[in-house]
This record gives sequence, structure tokens and C-alpha cells, in this order.
Amino acid sequence: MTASIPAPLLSIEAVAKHFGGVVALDDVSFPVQPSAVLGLIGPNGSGKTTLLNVINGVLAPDRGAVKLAGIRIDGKRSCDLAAAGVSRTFQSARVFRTLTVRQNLFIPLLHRAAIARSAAVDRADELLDLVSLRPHADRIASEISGGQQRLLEFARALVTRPRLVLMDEPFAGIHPEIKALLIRSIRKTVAQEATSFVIVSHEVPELVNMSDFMVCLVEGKVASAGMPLDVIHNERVIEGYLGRA
Amino acid sequence: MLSLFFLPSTRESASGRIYRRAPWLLALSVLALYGVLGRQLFLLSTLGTVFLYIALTQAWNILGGYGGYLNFGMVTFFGVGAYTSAVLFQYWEISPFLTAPFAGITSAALALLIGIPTLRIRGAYFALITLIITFAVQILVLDMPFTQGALGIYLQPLSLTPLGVERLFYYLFLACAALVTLLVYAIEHSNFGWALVAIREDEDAAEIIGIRTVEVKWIANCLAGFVAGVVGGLYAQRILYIEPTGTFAFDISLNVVLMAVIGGAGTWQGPLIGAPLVLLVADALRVTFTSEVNRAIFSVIVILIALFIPGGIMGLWTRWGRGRAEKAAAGGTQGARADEQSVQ
Repeated sequence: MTASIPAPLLSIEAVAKHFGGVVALDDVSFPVQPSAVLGLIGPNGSGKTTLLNVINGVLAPDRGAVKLAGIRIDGKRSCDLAAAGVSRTFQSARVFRTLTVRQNLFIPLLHRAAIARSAAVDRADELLDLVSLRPHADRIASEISGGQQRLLEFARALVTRPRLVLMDEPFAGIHPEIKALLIRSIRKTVAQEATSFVIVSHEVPELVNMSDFMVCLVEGKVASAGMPLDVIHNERVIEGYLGRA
Repeated sequence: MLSLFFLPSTRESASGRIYRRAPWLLALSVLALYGVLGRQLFLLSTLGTVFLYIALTQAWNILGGYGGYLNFGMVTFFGVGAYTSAVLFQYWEISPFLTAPFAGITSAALALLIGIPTLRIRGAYFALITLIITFAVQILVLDMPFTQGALGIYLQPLSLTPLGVERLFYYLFLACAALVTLLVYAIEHSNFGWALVAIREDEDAAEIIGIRTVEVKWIANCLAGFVAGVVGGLYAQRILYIEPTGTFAFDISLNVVLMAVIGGAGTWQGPLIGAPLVLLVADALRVTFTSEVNRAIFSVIVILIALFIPGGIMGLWTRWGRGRAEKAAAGGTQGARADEQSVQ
């Protein structure tokens, strides 16, 4: 008797995207399992952010399909995908700068099903505790540090309990302590909330450590996909991205 | 989409809220009383104009202040409202008092029509398009036979004494200003208002957290259009003669933006401060400097405010309040530390 493989939460199926004559994505396919972290690596311009934009509804693919729990989501608007449980962070933290830290977390909650005030406050505080921003809850978001803004954006992405979170370069340019806190928070969220993550990063050692599955894109194509250690030792990945030591 | 008073922006006690609103309620009561007691036509007329501008500026504030979309075409909705009422009077002799709501609906429909293509455009391009649309609509009204082109439309004077007329419009515009302020206050404390603020802060991020940004902007634009249309409809009856150049004057749009920005865009108090202040300063300059120099001086004042008080007067007030609160918190912490040390 064989163990049953769970149905993937997200399926990328033969996705292609062109910008004029430039091939950004070409026949990209891989699954993302529930409660799993998928690390997405590749050189600059390999199509990582484009792929996040396709998953997130910012861009529609030219070919192929994106499915969330078996349902096609490609071409849908980002706001509809948010309702379906897809959330995201950006390359540089994009918080609501003139609002307080806590208000940043309230806004996504307000746009979901009716939620009691006390429940909203509790949920926001829960997330602020997760990312250690509770002492800054009433500060204006633009007044906290860049690293803290990154944490706030992460908390905002989680506040509505999404099924899938897409993170674009979450560890770039932040203090090691904040990076460690972010990694701990991601692990905790996967364990406690069964959330899946797709994380784009150039911080390969961190990503290898925390990922259950890894994909390397080179020139818009999947150069390698599989277990993290297998991917980083793959010849095509070494040739196309990591280089030889 | 609209759930009201869900999460207040501050953790204020009920008595604190009453204390903060009391001056505004007092001002409203005094103004309402002045409508009965006041006999100076000039003052009643000037205050009526202030109320008219407060209503228009609050309407602009919905999308412009909270949503961050710089609309230089408020006069389009205002003018279309005025013409709707005037045309209905011209051909069917229906009083503008009865047709003002219909004028609002017409302007709201136009706002939707304009908003569908233009509210997908952001920043300076949107501002530019609203400006172009104003001139396009003005030309259209000049050329259409039923609007009587440059000849304009005359409306029937009311059978009231001059004081009666001034009092009537004083109260009508005061009611408009109060109601629209109440609407904007409600929006500020609703999830619709928060959605607009999120759009102003970062539209892509707003969409990604689940806000239907395009639809929110359409609704905001329609609300602004409706209010401007109603006010325009009443304005037509107020001045009794409308023609395209004056009714669609760019000055009206510009004044509205200046009033919101100087008072504090994105706050319900901003237009209440900005509208009288701008009219007062502009009038004082006009009386003091009879030449066109007054406009140059006014422009310099506006530039200085934009440079040194970017959040307007309300922004200044908020920063001052925050500074005081932080000082008090710091003082409290120091006091607590001193207490701890004295105990030790």
C-alpha cells in the first residue's frame, strides 16, 4: 500500500508569459503542497517576480494555467484572489505609510466577512506579537525602521489567515536579527496555520534551510525542481545561477 | 461595502468625543441662529457662498482627499447639475428646488461615465484628464442647442424679498454643507473610507489585500458628482442666470482643491477650515490690492502653504497633537522611572 500524496494547493501548469519579444516565462510547471514552503531561486531577470505576478493576478499568463486547490485562478483580479486566500509581500515593503502599525492590519480585516471589533483587535495584536511589533502598534508606519516595515507587511499579509503567501525577496537588505525573526515567524505560521509559502530570494542558504521544495528558474524556464539540496547541486542550476566555487 | 463606525481611528472616550465635537456643534448652532437674526444681505450672501464651497470641497475630499486622486474637474459635475436644473426649468418649468436631486443623479451618472475609463489612470495623468474633460464639457454645453449656447438660461426669480432670498439660500447651503460634512465624517469612519485611504497610500497593495480599488473609486467619484450636482442645481436658482463660461469656470475647481489642501485634505475638518479661509484671504486681497497683483500674492501664499504645511492646517494640528502626546508619554515614563528610583 502506498501513502497518498495530498492534492497540491497551487498548481502552475505550463505557464508562459512574454513581454513583446522577451520571453519572461516559458512552460513553467510545478506544484505547491499545503503547509509547505517553496523556495524560488534564479538569477536576476529569470522570471521569478513575473511568476509571482502571474500567480497573484497582477499579470495574466499568455498560456498555461494557475490553479488554487484545483480551481483555475489565472486572469483573476488580485482582490478576488485575496478573498480566495492568496496573499503577498513585495520586494520593498509597501505598508500604508501614514497609518499606524495597528491600522495597517485592520484594513485587510475590514474588507472580509463581518468581524467583530474585539476579534479584529485580537487578531491584529496576535500578528503584532508574532513579529514583535506590539510595542510599536500605535506608531505611524513610516516612522518605524525598514526592517520593521518588512515585518509589518508580512503581518498584514497573514492577518486574514491566507492559504498561500507569496513573498518577493523578503530577506533582502534587512538586519540579521529581523531576518531571523522573519524566518521564525514563517516557520511558526506554516506549523500553526497550515499556510503555504512561495518565497523568492537570493539568500540561498536560508532558503535551503527553510524550504520543503525548491524551484530554480533560468531564463524563464525551470532549470531544476525538487528537494532543496538536490536543486542547488544540479548542474544546470550551478551553470545558470550559483556558479562554481 | 459600507460598514460604519467599525473601528475608530483613536481610542477615545465618549466624553472626549463630545468635547472634541462641541466646538463644531456650537459653530453650527450659532450659524443657524444667525440665519434668523442676521439682516445684512452681504454677510448672509457671503456666508451662503462659504457653505456652498464647503459642500463642494467636502465632495472633492471623498476621492481627492481620502483617495488621493487629484481631481481638477469638480466644476464639471457642478456645472452639469446647474444646467440640468436650468434646462428642466426652461422646457418644463419645474422648480430647481424640486429638480436638484435629479441634477445630482445626472452629475453622478456623468461621474460614473467619466470614472470608468479615467479612474484606471493614476497621478498627474488623472489630474490632467479631469482638466481636459471640464473644457470639453464646457464646449459641448456652448454648442448644444437645448442649452442655448453662450446665451445661457434665465430662471424665474423667487417671489420673496431680497432678505428672504438670502436667508433661504443661506439655510439651503448651510444644510448642504452640514449634511455633506456628516457624510464625509461617516465615510472617514467606515471601511469604505479606510479603503480609500489604502488606495491613496498604495493602490497595488490595497488591491492585493482584497480591496476592489476600481469600484471603490467609482463609488467615491459618483458620491462627489451627486453632491456637486445638487449644489449646482440650487446654485442655478440662486443666481438666476447661467451660461457656460461662468458656470464651468476653472476657478471653481481650483478653489475647491485649494480649500481642501489648505484646510487639510483627507480629513472631515479640512474643508470647514479651508473654504472660509481661502475665501476670506482672497476677498481681503481683492479689496486691498485692486489690480491683478492680488492673484499673484494669493498664489505665493498657496505655494508657501504647500511648501511648509504639506498636510494643511489639519496636518499641522495633528502633528502638534501627536508631539504633545509623545511629550506627555515621555514625561510619564520619566515620572514612573523617578517613582521607581525613589522606591528603591
